[in-house]
Amino acid sequence: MMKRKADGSPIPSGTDRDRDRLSSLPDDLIGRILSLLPTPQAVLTSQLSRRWRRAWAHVGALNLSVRDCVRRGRGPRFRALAREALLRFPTAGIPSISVEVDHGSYLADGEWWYREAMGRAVGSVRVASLRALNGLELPPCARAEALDVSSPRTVLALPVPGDGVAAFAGLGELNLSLVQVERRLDEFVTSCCPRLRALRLRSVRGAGVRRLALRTDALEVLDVSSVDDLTSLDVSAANLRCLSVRSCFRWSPAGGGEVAASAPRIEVVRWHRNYPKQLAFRSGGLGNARRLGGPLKLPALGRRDQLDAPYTLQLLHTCSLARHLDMELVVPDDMALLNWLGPERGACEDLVRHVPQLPNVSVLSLKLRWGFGGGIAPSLASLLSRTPSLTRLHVDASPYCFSVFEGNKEPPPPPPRRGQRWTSGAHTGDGLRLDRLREVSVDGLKGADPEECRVLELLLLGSPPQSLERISLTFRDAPASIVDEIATEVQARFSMATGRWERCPPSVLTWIKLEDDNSQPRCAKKFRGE
Amino acid sequence: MASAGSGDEKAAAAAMITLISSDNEKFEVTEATATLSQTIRHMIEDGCTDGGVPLPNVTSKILARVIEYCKKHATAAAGEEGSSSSFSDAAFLEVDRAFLEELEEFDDAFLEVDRATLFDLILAANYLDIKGLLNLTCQKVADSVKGKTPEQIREMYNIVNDLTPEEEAEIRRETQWAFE
Repeated sequence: MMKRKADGSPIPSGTDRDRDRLSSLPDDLIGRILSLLPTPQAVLTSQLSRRWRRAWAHVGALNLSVRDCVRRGRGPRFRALAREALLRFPTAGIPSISVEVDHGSYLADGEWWYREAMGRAVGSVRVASLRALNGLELPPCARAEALDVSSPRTVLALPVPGDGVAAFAGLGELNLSLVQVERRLDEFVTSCCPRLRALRLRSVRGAGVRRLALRTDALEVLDVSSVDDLTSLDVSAANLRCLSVRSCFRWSPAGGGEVAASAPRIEVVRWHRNYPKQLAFRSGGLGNARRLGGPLKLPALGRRDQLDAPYTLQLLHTCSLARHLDMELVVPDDMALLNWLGPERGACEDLVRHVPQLPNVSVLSLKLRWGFGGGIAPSLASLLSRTPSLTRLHVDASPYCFSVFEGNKEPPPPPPRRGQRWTSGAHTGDGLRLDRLREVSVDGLKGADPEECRVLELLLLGSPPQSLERISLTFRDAPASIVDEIATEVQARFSMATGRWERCPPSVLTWIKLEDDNSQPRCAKKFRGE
Repeated sequence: MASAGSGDEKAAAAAMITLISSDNEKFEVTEATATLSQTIRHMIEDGCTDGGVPLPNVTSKILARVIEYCKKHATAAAGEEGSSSSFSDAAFLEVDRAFLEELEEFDDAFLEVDRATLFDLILAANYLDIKGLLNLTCQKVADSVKGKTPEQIREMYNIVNDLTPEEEAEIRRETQWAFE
């Protein structure tokens, strides 16, 4: 297929470097690229050449921002731009609209451009304000498929449900950020958005999000994050696949706060910090989740009824058939325990012991935090003994004694190694059987604390899994000399003959299984045809 | 589909698809990898993939890169077979934090290609209908153009200005509305 310029002549041949590949793209691809630019910038390309003169006619998006207008006379300038763009927009329905304003008057009732734009929106609509507005109506884009509203400290008025007529009949996704909602959001969703598949709330406040009761067969994704006012979440959704609750329930009054869920087709559950008083999962609750994370926080030691422990354990029990798990395991030192439990540590116990068997977990992402003196090996071994099907283990190591320095620009110098070896020699991995483990990656190593090496020792001393294909160790803020030293130690200590250690300067150590000549390459093999 | 397969490997082997590039090179990929392409997905659904899928618009060099992308992103969706959700993988992946970061790093590194390859990838992604790859590559071009003057864009992409001064003046008048 010969590409032709707009005037019909073939494109002059030349070396690939000299060719004008951009102009040779078909119209719809040029339109797609222009749709990713602010509208004035997209229009500017008309000046490039004859081919580009009418390229804007293939655009599918209107991207208007007050930031693209000079400060002086911004108001009239923005309105004029919006008006002219709408008058010239190539199609009646507009697949994608993004509007950024800094004043409520742009979005007032009488604004022609706004009414026109919302009326013509048939795909995704994003309305964002850079500053707090004096109130905002939910954008009247009745035909839109996705709506995203973001406006800091702004009361968002939801339309009053009409008599049985769905106002947003085609709306599939609704994302609200930073706004305050006073009218009940769940009632609006139930009555006006019968086909809503995704609801995402970020830092939304107000009486309207205090209680969310959603009974819907359409909803597939529910994602609430930093909704401080939330006290009750009650979801019954036959097709819900992803439930994410992060940093909610912060203000829920003592004794209040509850979550009940029923979602038989759930795939992903994310939960992070702050829990209601009650977590209840009805039959078909969340037991089918394949991915569980947040990350879920669990102290290795502590009281079973304190902090994250009871909720994390409950979620683990509920979703014990998950295949992917993302956890944060905190191994407290004496100081931390004193903070948590007070001087009498009576009810302090090993909490990992209460983690259920997780027979299907194949991918485990573990953020591992410990203080100096807090031995991570027993807790880690105990956790890994519950995941016999593990194939990929990612550990993000972060000793928390360093975190107090995080405010400083310079990372603190690692403590002197005092001649101690990074590889410690302790061997705690007895009985750990991870016969399917293929990949281990450990990130965030400082090279200063032998505890860091425990993950490896657990897995590799004794009889390392035959299935291992790749190990990578990434050091952060560790001087090259220390990484050099450790590289030597590691190669000597874990000299697994089936593969080879390699140093990837400056700070990554990898071990890769050697390809067996007789074995088929694992990945898609490639061969010459004919 | 995995008729005789009892173990995972047999099942996977049964679901291999052969892709044939314009220069007749054959690539064997898993069905999960191949079906990131809607075009190929439809061919599989129509049952016309026996003897390989000829892709006359894609060279072996580009097809290898496209497969590299699909493999990586197919792993992302692995375990979600049977999931008919139309949402991006990202919502589901956020649980697997480490992998999501890895995927982003992969995408960044993947885009470190020369211009000619970038355009070949755009055309291939468009032809094969791989939405993620098309968005990724088009965004890269859009980002490179953002904030540039027409002269700078012409220079960057070897665009010959074939407009007469009169036409240029006319276009400026026509597009005046978009500028200050």
